[in-house]
Amino acid sequence: MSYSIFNQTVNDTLTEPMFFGDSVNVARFDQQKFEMFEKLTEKQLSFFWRPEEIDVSKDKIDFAKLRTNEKHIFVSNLQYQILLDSVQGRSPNIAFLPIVSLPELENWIETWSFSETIHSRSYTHIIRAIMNEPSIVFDEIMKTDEIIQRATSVSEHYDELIKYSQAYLLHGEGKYEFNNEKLDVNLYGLKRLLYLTIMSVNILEAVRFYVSFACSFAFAERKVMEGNAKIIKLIARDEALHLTGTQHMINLMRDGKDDPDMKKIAKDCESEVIQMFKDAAKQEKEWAEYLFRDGSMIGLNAEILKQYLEYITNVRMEALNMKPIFKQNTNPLPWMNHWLDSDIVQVAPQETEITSYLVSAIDNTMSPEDEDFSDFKL
Amino acid sequence: MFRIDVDNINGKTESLYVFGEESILTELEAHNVLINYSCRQGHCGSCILKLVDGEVLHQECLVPLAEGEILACQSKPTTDIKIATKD
Repeated sequence: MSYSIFNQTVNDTLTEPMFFGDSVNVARFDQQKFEMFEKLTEKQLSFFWRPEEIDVSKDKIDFAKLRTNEKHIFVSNLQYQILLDSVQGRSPNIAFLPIVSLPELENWIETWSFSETIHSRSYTHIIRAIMNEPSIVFDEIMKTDEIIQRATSVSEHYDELIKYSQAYLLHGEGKYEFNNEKLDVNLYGLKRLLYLTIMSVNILEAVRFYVSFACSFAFAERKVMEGNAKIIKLIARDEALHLTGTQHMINLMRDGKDDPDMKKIAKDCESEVIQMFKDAAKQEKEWAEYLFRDGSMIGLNAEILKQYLEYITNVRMEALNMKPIFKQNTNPLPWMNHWLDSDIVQVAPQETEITSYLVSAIDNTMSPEDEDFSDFKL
Repeated sequence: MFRIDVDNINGKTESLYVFGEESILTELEAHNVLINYSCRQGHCGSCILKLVDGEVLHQECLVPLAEGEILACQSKPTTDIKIATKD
C-alpha cells in the first residue's frame, strides 16, 4: 500500500477523517466536510502581500542609532523568527500533505505553508535594508547555540511524525528496522504523533511567535524600526489565521467530531500537552534572558517579556479549552493589542488595499423570502 | 457616548461608557472585564458574547454565529448595548 499521488479509489470526502483516511484524489471544493478550512484559505489568499510593498529605508538610519545591546535584541529576535519560518515554510507540506484526506484541508495546508515562505522572504528584505553585510546575520544563525537549541525543540515532533508516516506509507503497519533503529509502526501510534505535532505547531505559532512579535512592536512603540514593525504586523495577521487553523483541527479532534480515535488520544495526551506548553514557556524564558543579556531597552525587559509569555500561554490554552497553567491573567504589554487588532487603522479604499475585500465575490444564497416577488410592481 | 451594560461577565456586572471607536473586546480589557480571546481578528471564535440588547457594527468574520451572538473583537457599539456571556 505505497502512497499514490492520485489515489484511484472512489471515495466520499464528506465521510473521510481529516488525516489517515484515503489520500485525496480530486481537488474539489464544491462540497466540504469542514467549511472552516475553505474559509481560512480564502481569507489567507485575500491577505496576500509582498515584502517589497513596505518601505524599510528609514529603518537603516534607525538601526545605526540603536545601542549595541538593542542591536543584539533586534538582530537575534529576527534570527529566531527566520528559524521559525524556515521550519514552518516547509514542514506542514512535508509532514501533513502525504497523510491528509480532505481536499479543503489539503488546500489550506498548502496555502498556509506558502504564506510562511513570504515571511521568510520578508526577513531577507528587512536585513538587506538595514545591514551592509546581510549574509553575516544569516551565517550566524547556524552558529548560535541558543538558536540551534530552539530549532531542535520546534522540529522534534515534526521529525518523528515524518519518520513514522513515511515508513507507514511505504510499508504499512508493522515492526521495521532502519539504520539500527527499531520502528513499531501502527496507525494508532501515528495518530498520536500527529496530534502532538499539531499541538507543537500551535505552540510554535501561537506562543513562540508572539514573544518575538512583542520585541519588534516594542521598538516601533518608540517610533524606531517602524518599517520592520509594519512587516511584522502583516506576519502577525497571517499567524493569527494559522493559529486558528491548528486550534480548529485540535478542537475537532478533541470533541470527537472527526476521528473517534483522536478523542481518546486527546484525553490520553492531556498531561503530555500541558508539559509541552510548560517546556515551551521555559525555553522561551531562557531565550528572553539571552535577548536581554547585555541590557534591556526602553519599554521592554526580560521580566516583562516573561510575564507576557505566561499571559499569552494562558490565553492559548484557554482557546483549546484547557486550564491555564500560570497565574498571570492580565496583559503586561497592553499596547501589543493595538498591533494585533486587525482593523485598528481605518483607511479610505483609494489609499491602500483593503485586505478583506474580495474581487468579484457574489453571494448566491437564496432564502424562500427572496423568491417571493408577488408584491413587486413595475 | 454609548453605554455597555455588562451582565455578569467573569463575575462583573457594571456599566461602561465608551465612544464606540474601539472594539468591544478592547473596551472590556480597558475596563478590566476579562474575557477569553485568541486571534483578535474574527477567526477563532474565542470571544463570542451574547448581545442581549442594542445594536453593534459587526465586521466580517469566519466564525458561524447564532442569532444574537457577536464576536467581541469584531464589533463596536452603535447604540447603548447589553452584553452577557454565551452560556
